[in-house]
Amino acid sequence: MNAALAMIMIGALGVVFNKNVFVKILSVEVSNIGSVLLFVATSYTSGSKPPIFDGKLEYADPIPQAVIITAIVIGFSILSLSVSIISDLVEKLNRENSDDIERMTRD
Amino acid sequence: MKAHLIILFLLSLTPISMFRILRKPLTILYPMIVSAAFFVGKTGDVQIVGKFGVHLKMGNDSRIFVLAVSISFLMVALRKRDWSAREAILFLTSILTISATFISYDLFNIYVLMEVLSVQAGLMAIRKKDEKVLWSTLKYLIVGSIGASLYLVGTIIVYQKTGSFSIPKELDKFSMAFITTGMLMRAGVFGLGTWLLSFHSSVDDELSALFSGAFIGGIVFPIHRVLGNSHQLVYVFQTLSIFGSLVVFSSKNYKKILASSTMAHLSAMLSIPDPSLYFLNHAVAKTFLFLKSGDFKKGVISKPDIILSLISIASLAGFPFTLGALAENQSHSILLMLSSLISSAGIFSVLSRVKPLSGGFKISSIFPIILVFPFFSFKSLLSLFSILGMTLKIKRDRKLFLEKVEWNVAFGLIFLAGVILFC
Repeated sequence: MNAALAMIMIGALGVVFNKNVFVKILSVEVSNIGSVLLFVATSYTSGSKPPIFDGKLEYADPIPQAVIITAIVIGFSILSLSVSIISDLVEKLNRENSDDIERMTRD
Repeated sequence: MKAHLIILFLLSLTPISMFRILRKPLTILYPMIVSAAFFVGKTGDVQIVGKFGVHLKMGNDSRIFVLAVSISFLMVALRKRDWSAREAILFLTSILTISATFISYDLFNIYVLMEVLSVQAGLMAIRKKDEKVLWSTLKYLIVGSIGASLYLVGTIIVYQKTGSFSIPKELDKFSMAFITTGMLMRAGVFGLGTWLLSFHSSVDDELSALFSGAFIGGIVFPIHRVLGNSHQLVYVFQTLSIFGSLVVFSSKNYKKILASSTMAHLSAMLSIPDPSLYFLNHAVAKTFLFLKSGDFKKGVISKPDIILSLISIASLAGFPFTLGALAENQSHSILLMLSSLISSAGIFSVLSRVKPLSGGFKISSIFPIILVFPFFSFKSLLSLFSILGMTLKIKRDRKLFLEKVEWNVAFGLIFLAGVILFC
């Protein structure tokens, strides 16, 4: 669970400290995967089985694992949309540095 | 209630299929149909499929929010001439997504709706392949995604404590900190979400009107549901509102001035106990002002439109006899009054420069009339004089470094730490 929180923070700090837009998007994805890991980690309890019914009663909690699939799909859709935007942007401006892009797109 | 929801779902599918057949959409009628369906239905709670199902709740505030969003969409639908199939489908599905946010009472469901709304907004925005639009959309997606990750942390904390994703009556410190920070980054308040300035100002006029008028409702409402009426962050939101209104002076671009006014009003909405009337007022006024931004840019505007623009600005500032005065009156905060005045002064300073033109009255411009409300408050009269005074000498040529993505995320992290430490 701590590893998941650390991943989210690493992703957020990656957005703050990296200037390359591709690396920024990768950092966002790291953060997103961190939140997925958090959902999976919290539903696990020591000694429990995967939530597949085989007659035994101790299972990991299936609810967070079930709902987080939606977050994975959404994360992927946002990642692909962002990458397509970046590729258009880099093609137009010929820059990958976020400060340069910010300067070139100002009024 | 369940039958009502099923009817609503069927209604939502009909216009999309009609559009495929007719090409010219029935979209103009559609917001009215959705609005009517919500108004006819009963208020109350419903839990779909057992304890772990989605919890829906519809109150009177949800109805006013739906009404406001419907009016905003209707104004845009009446104005927009050329519809492509993709635009119309995004337009229709986004109404549904926002309306669903107003009845959702489930943290994970709200997360999904927020993310879907952001993808829809992104897809709508990048129709215009301009560098500014692409970059502002990217900033919106980056900051929003980090916000969404933080929001999910808060959600799982709530699930661990209560065993359900339904919004609990009282949030503990950590879950409140993560959920609020995540939502505020997605919302676009000053500091945490200054992407709003470039995003709302760079896209087409119709989209700016939709984003500022309707889309912000999809985030204001859940924040209110999660935090409840009495929360500790009221003063924080009021201060953010003041800072947001000061950004008005950072640009000469009319749309950017309007966007910064949205930023101020967004924070103001979060700080008052019941934001439904405030949101209605803001949605109608801001949609109208954004739709007229083409005329403002040219510097000529027809006489009826000037009067309607003045009504909109007055209502945003909370002048007497307007809906804005009624909405603002529930909070007796001098900070809110100041922020709405300052942001309206910025818009008024642009209006004062345009030339009036004798022109006809269009039916699509009629909506700001609903903002004139028979209500009087003394402080609003006082504000009339102060707004006139403030518009005389305003320097608006400073550039803001705060629009950068890095600052938004950094502010988000600082805000998160602050809430955890001090609340």
